[in-house]
Amino acid sequence: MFKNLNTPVDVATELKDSADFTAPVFRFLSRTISFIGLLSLVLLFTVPSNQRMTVVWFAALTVAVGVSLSFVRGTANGAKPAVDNNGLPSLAPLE
Amino acid sequence: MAGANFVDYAVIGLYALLMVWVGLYVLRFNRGAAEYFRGGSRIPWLVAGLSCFMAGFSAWTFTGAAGVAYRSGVAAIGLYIGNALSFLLGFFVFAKRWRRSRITTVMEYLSGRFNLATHQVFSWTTIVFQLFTSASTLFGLSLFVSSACGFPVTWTILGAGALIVFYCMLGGLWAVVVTDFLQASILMPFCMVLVVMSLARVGGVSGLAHSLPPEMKTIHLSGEFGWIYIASWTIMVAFGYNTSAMAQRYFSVDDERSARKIALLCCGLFFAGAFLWFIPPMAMRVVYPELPRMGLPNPSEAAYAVASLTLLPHGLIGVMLAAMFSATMANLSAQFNVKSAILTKDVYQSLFRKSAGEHELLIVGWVTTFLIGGATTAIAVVMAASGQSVFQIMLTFNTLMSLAYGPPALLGLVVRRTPPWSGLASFVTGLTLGMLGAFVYHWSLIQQVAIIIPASFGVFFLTMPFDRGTRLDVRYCLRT
Repeated sequence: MFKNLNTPVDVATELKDSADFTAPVFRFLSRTISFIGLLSLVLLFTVPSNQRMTVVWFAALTVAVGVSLSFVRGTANGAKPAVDNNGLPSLAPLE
Repeated sequence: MAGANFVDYAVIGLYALLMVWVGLYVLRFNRGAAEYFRGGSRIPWLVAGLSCFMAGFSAWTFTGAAGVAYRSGVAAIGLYIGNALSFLLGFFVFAKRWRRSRITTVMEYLSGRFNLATHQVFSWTTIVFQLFTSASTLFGLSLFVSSACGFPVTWTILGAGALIVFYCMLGGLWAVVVTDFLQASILMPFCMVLVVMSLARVGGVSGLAHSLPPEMKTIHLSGEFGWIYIASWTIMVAFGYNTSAMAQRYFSVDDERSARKIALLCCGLFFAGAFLWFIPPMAMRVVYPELPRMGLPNPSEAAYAVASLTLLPHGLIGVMLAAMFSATMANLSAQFNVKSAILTKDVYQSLFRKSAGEHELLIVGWVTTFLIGGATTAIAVVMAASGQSVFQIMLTFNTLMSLAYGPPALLGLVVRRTPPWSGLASFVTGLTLGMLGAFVYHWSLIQQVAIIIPASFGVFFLTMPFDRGTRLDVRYCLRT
């Protein structure tokens, strides 16, 4: 145990067989959060006019979070995940 | 003050569908137990960090703690700044060590550092005690949501329990962290909007400061929610926030640097959260000096919900209720995954099937997640039927487990020269004193921290002269 604690993690060696899902995960999160933000604008049709700015603020903040996540990219280390035609990680076979 | 209507129910329904979709989406990331329980150590630090943050609080923050803010003012902010500070311990000491341990479950570390007996005693005790903590968390959420919406408590428990079990079972840790990230991304903008609306209602920060009673703007040295209480709280949460589900986040990322970033992110977010979450209840003290009960035992615990119902339009009230679900679901899903990992790796593989492959462990993981979730939901239903005080149960079991399990788990990472049984001795001391304090003598939080921590630390250090491995350790140090 303490030998492990004294040994720094070597990502290139220890995780060489492990796929890096950073890019697809953040793409998914970015699209989903932006979609939620835009979907919340539907509430503009149901709320009184004096409360519309509240909905707009919530939508703007959520979309801003979603858009900012689209700039996150994966690291160069690790195996690339297999992707399907849509750029999403393909289903991995069970070992 | 408006109540929830069909638009809000539609928002909650869409939110539930989103969680199911995430569970199905991340199913593709899991090839075996390593991915299911620790994300193959490939979870991005930002995702793991937000998940760690979300796992650190529940609907209790918006009910019990919001009630403290409504009654005692800035003391609630002090408590959550204590939470933030406890993550600094992770940043400076434990995050790096947890990542370097290269383990899949916290319990696995116990057999490596101590012995198999410690490992098994900790595993079983943690599972049994935390079943009650998780059940009380689920019960607390359901009590609140059913009060706000008029749904029967039992059906709310069953619905929320089934939803969490579904996505946890399918997606494992990946589902937990991705849903946590989404939940945080909805929750934080919502909280920011509510803070702005609350401050606007009471005339801004200066208006709030002028209108609050003087006793809500100061923290005394002693008494309820004084400085001594806040210090005891910080010590208590420091153990919980550096072990268990939080430790699992530390070893789910690629390296030590990422693990430390998680701790720093959580520290910052809890610091911000302390203000974001407790300004609205304090503003409600100015707007409504007397709050409606809303079906809660303590009316002040409805302060956050009253702020939302007063200041927000329909739809965003649904977001508030979804946010309550979010906070609790994040907390519970993290616990389900941790307990499932313990049952799969530390009980099934360790005791029954040492040669079990990754695929077999993944299937056992699905089954154990289902069993843990089912048992938690069933206990919550029983609690609801018996009319127990949910927040007292939660505080009792949380304190009991944090103070018994935390000291040996964390000391074991930094103190090397103790015998293999030192962890068990310290744990039994902490647990015995904790049970006496909680169920026989009814100690306060301050008394529990003041008695249990020194006793538990003392027993751990007193075992040092019995360490037979000291000479081996010295030889190892000389060799390297």
